[in-house]
Amino acid sequence: MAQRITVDPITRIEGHLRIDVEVEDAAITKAWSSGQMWRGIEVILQGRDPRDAWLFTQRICGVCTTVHALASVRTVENALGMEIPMNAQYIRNLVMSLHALHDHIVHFYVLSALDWVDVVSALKADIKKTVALAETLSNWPNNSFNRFKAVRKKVQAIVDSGQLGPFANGYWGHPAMTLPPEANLMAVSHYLEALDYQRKADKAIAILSGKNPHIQNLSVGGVTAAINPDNDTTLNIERLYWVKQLAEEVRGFVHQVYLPDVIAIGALYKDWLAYGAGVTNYLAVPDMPLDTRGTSFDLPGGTIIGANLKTMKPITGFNDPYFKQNIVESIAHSWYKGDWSKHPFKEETVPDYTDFQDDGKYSWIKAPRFKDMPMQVGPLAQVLVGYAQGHKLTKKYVDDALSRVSTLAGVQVEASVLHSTPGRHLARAIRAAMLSDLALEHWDKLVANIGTGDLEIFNKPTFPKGEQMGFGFHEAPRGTLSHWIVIRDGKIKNYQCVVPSTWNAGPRDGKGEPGPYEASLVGNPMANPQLPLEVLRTVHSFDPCIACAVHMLDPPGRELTRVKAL
Amino acid sequence: MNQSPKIGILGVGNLLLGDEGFGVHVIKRLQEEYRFPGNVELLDGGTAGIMLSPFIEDKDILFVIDVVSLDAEPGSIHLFGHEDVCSGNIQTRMSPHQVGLLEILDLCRLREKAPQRIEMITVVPADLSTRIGLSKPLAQTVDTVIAILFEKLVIMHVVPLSLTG
Repeated sequence: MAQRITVDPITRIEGHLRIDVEVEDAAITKAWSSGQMWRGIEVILQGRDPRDAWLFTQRICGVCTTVHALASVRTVENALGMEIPMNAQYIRNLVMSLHALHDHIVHFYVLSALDWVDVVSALKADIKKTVALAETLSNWPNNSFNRFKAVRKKVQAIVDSGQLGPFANGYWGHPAMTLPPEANLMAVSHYLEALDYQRKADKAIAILSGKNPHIQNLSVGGVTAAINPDNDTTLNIERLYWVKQLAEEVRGFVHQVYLPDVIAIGALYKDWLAYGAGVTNYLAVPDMPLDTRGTSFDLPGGTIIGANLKTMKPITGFNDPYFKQNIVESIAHSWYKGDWSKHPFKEETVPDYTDFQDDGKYSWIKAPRFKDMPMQVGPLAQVLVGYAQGHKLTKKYVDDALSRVSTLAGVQVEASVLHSTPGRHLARAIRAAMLSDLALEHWDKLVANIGTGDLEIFNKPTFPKGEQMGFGFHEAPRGTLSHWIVIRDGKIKNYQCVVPSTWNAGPRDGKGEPGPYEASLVGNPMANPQLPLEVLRTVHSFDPCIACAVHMLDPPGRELTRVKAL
Repeated sequence: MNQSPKIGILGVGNLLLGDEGFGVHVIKRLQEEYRFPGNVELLDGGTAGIMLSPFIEDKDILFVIDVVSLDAEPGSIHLFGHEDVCSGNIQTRMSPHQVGLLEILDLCRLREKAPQRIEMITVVPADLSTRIGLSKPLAQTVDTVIAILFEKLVIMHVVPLSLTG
């Protein structure tokens, strides 16, 4: 008989993802993804000044702050047909890439590494063998005998004290934990270092943006980071060099620690490369614009249908009609009034809560569709689209990573392994490597542009009478983010945010097609329904920006175990 | 110690969930009504998660003001040292928001960058529903919590200056 497992939030912060799965014969047969919290920012924005929208939208979240700020100013600029100065583009690109680097590092080490790494097993590691393993991956100076020995001692002290601290809720000894002790020890050592490098990225953002999280240096038409090489209180060469130094340090960590770690974990968990593909239609938008209008970019965008790279169709600019015309959101299974699929310009947001209905409405998240199809978004989408286009930087890192995975795993792997749970992690690390290179390139471009005597940072927006419509996108750490605005007489008439986790975590649509989270879980193995590590591995690989905790119900609905926040 | 120790006063919580924002309300009161010497830093930590680590790792002594889930009377005050509170029951991480304060403290300790001394002044909440503002029993506790904090600061030769007389 099928057993129902519910992974549901019990949290003090926000708590808005619930995953239900049915398990039969040790594998998942059905899955539901439900957003348990209503956003409501769109309603708050109605009637307000479009120039203020970015300050509100970045409050959607405490993590993905920068991304909503950026998408929002691009949206209003698009509605007004504006260009923005090159300095503003470069500064935005720097902020955007540093934010993504911070986010990808935190996501891998702090939020998902412990799904794969067994901390307690690290105690059994042979130090010399750990050094030897690490040396095959990179020449990071901290991969030393003394460092690994000290880390093992620390882990021993925690285990002896009986207080596992941040590792307390890991699934130690779970049959799905199969890394050798040496790989576990190396990963714990890097976990402890990761915090320093995400902080360096954060610091660089704060230097450029005034504060972080929730940056303060954007405006519709440009940025408010005044540039004057001869002034102590503006963005000057001293601060720019500080940003550069931090970006270089972060790049070192990404290239020598993060990317090699993910390559090793992918290779050592090669069985998992067969699981978690789910929806293999992909959507990514181009980012890091290289001109004032957003017609050429350093990061590629486009769509891929049915895992077939030959179907790749590019998205080429901030005004691309292929993107603009083909998005709808369906509310067939979402807690909103009615049953429709509408374009974001035409949508309304009228809440209508029922309870959780397996075959009816069961989520606050709408189901976005591209040409009526569910799409997976995120670093994997961007990397595949770039690979299919022959984008140089993408190809370089993908081919290198696949060849290193093949060597370590002892089997030849092709790009098709990327359609998987570890594939999403690998694509994220590849994207981080690309971003860490591009951040420094855009720093060079910014400094070269200032060197020509161009200090412009802002073009003033003007709002004509009547109605304007606009959209803006940004390839955020979790994937394609788009904002949509209707302005009437200088005020916001309608505003919609179609966010990455909506694409990925959305429910079934009017045709009953499941969303990416749901589809990716079906077929996953499940060794022990009491400890649903496999569900967490796959859902975490999407980098969910939704809080969730685990409590489990048996079929009649009695609670078996519960993990509760203090 | 030749130099004055760096002291942090950190209030955490979610302002939108009634009493859950207690720590933040206390910090606001301290910021509005007192002036502190240069070695003391106040922070409204909100629900910032991992981003609190730079503030914490920079301090010699840390006071945390928060609510606590205990089977005790709402508004009752409970003091803990870091050793008293174990993060063993933290939920599995599902999002970047889910890195809790205790977990960050543990992580800082593992990195050998934790403050030498951590004290938590906590109260039991009465109302965690979606609203801004404190319930009556908790609003009445703010003054007592500040008095307890000041007693501890005075021992460290920190004398806050009242701006309201």
